[in-house]
Order: sequence, then C-alpha cells, then structure tokens
Amino acid sequence: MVPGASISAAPTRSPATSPGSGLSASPALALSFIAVGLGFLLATVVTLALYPALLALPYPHPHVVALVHVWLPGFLLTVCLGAWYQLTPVILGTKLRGIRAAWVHLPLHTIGVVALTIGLASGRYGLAAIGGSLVTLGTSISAGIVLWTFIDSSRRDAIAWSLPLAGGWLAITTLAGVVLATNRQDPWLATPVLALLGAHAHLGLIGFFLTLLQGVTFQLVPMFTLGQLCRPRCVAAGVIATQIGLPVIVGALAVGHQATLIAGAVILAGGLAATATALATTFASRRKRRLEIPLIAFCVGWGFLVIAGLQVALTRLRSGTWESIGATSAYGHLLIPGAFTLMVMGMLLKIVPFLTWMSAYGSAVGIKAVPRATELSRPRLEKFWLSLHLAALLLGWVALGLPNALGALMAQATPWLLLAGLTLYAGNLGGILAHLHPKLASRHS
Amino acid sequence: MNTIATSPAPLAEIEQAIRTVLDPEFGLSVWDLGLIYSVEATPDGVVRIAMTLTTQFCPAGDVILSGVRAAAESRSEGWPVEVALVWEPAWTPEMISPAGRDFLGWQ
Repeated sequence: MVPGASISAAPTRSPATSPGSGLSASPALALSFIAVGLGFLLATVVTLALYPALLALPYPHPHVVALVHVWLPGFLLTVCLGAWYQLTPVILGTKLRGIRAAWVHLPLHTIGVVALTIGLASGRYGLAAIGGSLVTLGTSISAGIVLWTFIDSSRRDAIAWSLPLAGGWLAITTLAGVVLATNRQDPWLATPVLALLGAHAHLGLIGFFLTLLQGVTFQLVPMFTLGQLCRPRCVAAGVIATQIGLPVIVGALAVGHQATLIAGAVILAGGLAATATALATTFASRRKRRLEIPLIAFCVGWGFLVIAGLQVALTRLRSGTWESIGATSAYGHLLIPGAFTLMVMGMLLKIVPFLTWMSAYGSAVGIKAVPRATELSRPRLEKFWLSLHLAALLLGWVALGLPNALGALMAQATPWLLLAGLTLYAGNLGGILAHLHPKLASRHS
Repeated sequence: MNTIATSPAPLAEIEQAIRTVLDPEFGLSVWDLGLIYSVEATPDGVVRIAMTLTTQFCPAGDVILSGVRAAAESRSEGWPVEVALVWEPAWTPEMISPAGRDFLGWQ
C-alpha cells in the first residue's frame, strides 16, 4: 500500500477526531479502598469462626449490631466507596475532583469503622460516637467530591444523578448514626432506640446502597454484557421513587406512624418494580449470552431485594407492623447478607479483576500478550462461594422459622456455611490481587 | 515532524497487529468488536487509525487506545501512527463481526 491507501473494517466513514476519552482514573485509590474492605471481610470471617452463635442472637444484641457494622460500613461500604471513586469519573465523563481528599478519606474511614465497631461491641457508646464522627467526616468528604465532579459534568440522566444522591444519603446516614450513639451514651431523644435503629439502617441501605445500585447497575450491566439500556424512564422512575419513598419511610419509622410507613413502603416497592423491569429488559438485550457467576449473584441479589420490598409492603399492609423480632431478623437476613451482599460481592468479582488487570497489564496491551481481565478470577471458586452463600441464607431462613432442636441445629450450621463461602471468596480475590505483584504479572504476560 | 516514508505502509501487517489487541472484558479482538473504523496511510506519510469504543464511558478506553497505537507501531516499519478516537457513527453491537458474534454466543 502507498500513502493514501486504506483498510476499512466497516462501511466508509468520515471520522471526527475526539479530544480523547479522558476516562483514565488511577485504580490505586479504588483498589486501596477495596483492600481495606477485604480486611473487614476477613475480620467478619474470623469473628464468625470464633463466635458462630452470633448469627442466632436477636438483631438488637450489641454484638450483632457490631458485627453488622463490620459487615456494612466495614466491608460492603468500603468496597463500594472504592468502586464509587473509580466509577464516578467514568460515568460522569470527567476527571474525579479532590483525589487528595479521597486519599484522606481512607484512613478516616478505616480508623472510624474500627473505633465504631469496638465501641458498639463493648457498649462504649462514646467511643462509637467518636468512630462514627470520623466515618461521617469521611462520608462528607466523599459526598463533596462526587458532588463537585457531578457539577463539572454535563451528564444529567438518572444514572448520573444516582451518584450525588447516594452520597448525600450516605453522609446523612452516618450523621444519624452518631446521633444514635450519643443518644445511647446519654439519652436525650424520646423515640425508642429500636425505631431509631430501623430508621438509621434504612437510610443507609436504601439511601446509599439502593440509590447507587438503581443508577450504576445500568452503566455496568450493559458494559459487562454488551447489552443496551432499554427502559431509561423505568430507571429514572426507580431512582425518583426511592428519593420520595425513603424520607417518608424514615420519618414514619422514627415517629412510629404506621399509615405513613405503609405509604412509603408502597412508593418504594413501585420504584423497585420499575428498576426490576428496566433490569430485566437490559439483561434480555445482552449480546454476551452466557451469564457469569458474578452477574448471576448480582441478579439473585436484585431478586432478593424485590422480594424483601414486597415482603415489607405486604406485611405492613396486612398487620401494620412486624409480628416478631424473628420476622424482623428474617427481613434483615433477606436484605443484608441476601440482597445487598450478593449484589455488591457479585459486582466486586467483576470490578476487582478489571482494576487489577488495568494496573498489572494495562501498560503492556498491544506490546505483548496479556490475559483477559475475566481470566484473573477463578470461576470454580466463584461457583462454590455462591452455592455456599445461598445454602447458608436458605438454612438461616429455615432455622428462623423452626423454633425446635432441628432449627437450632440449622442455626449452628449457618455461620459455618457462610464462613466457608466467604473464605473461598476472599481467597479468590486474594489470588486476583496477587497479579499486582510484578513477578506473577510477568509470568502471565 | 513527520517524514514521508519511502516504502509503502504495511497496512495488512498493522491490521494483523491490531487484531491481537483484545477487549479485557470480552476477550474479543477490538477488530472483531468493530471498534476499528479505518486504517489508512495518508498522503502526508502517516498511518491514521480511526476507532471508537463500545461506550463513551468505557473505563478501559485509554488502555485500549494506547494498546492499538502500540500494536500498530510495532508493525508500521517506521511510519508514524495516529489513533483518532471518534464517536460518529456511534458503535452498535451490529458492528461486531460474524466471528465475534459466534464467540459471544450471539447469533
């Protein structure tokens, strides 16, 4: 060929040069948050191994509250923060603002969660309030970073809006947690503690995790499956319903107003149905037909969330309140180790290999052969983890409904199944992150 | 400053090199994904590659772009290589090659 000749891989086009993708964000920040989150996962695993009976205790028990805080703000939130910092510039199509502040967020969050959980477990609520304040300072920083980046961006669809909205709810959640801890230390609120605990939990689970997932899901799923977002209005409806339903629910939980609570639960359930519709059509449009374990876990998590939403709406409509602490525990199991954990852990099995691949092999692309990002994870370990996790959930739910010797036996077996699954999961992620070691990376390229 | 090469641009070799650049998620060549719109030798002595990404929000965009450039330069026999990222026309799954569709299980 001579100058002026060309090869065209597609029909003739006249390309307009773009200034560049501008999407490169260092994976180091995200991976650091994820590594700390895995540390909290390990802490959970060790705690469960040492005290397997914890899962059989009623949910208001201080040790259960502490364990839930190692799991939620410790593991799930920390890994989500890492993914959040990585995805925000990608979704908003602009550089992440305040990266230095994000690095400051990491130690604040880590120290804060450790102090918070020690304070909760030991009943030293002053220490819990100090830890919570550090976490709140961190979440305020992250909310500010994401809002600043959002303002810089021109993208204004529901996916983009979910980022700053989730950030705002997160900061409110952690602040509410500090208020709760100070109230336990020196009671000054007339509201019952359990009502406040319920309001705080829903603020975090629905406000941060659900809002974020209702948006980001529709960025990630098409990206991982070569699918298309088919129902953007349903996505927007889901996010809007959550923003309306959540304050209604939280306010009603705090003051104990049942009719308002039902109205909030119905609004939220409607939003979940809209999100589920959008998700189903997006998955149906996928070009990569085979669903991998991480995406199956993610879908199962969404399924549990819809069931939990329906369960709470129907129960509240029928009897106005939960029938027992056991029923509340079952709802909590469905929501925390079920829905949100499966969604976050599933997506983490896509995000961690990708970020690791970017760090370990990105600079060698086009120069020498490199493995695929998806090859870094071990499908067999993924499969065993998901099977064990689902078995643990099933056993746990059955045990909650069986107040006899068999139920007690099942309750004893549940943490061991969960533990086995988590160990495999952590081992798999450790193996993925090991690719960051230069020797292993050079062996694979 | 670019110098016009005296020998013809090895476009076929460059295409083969680009085919070795894989999408990290799907393991499919960027060529089979339909991301490469054109590879041409311009009269001013440059090999210009016009390519796109599956989405403007592709987090691996910069890595794929620099990978395509590195692969092309490895076979360009001294020809300077320019990679232009374009968004028009927008990429659609219909641009995936038949081999790529088979690979993905989409037929």
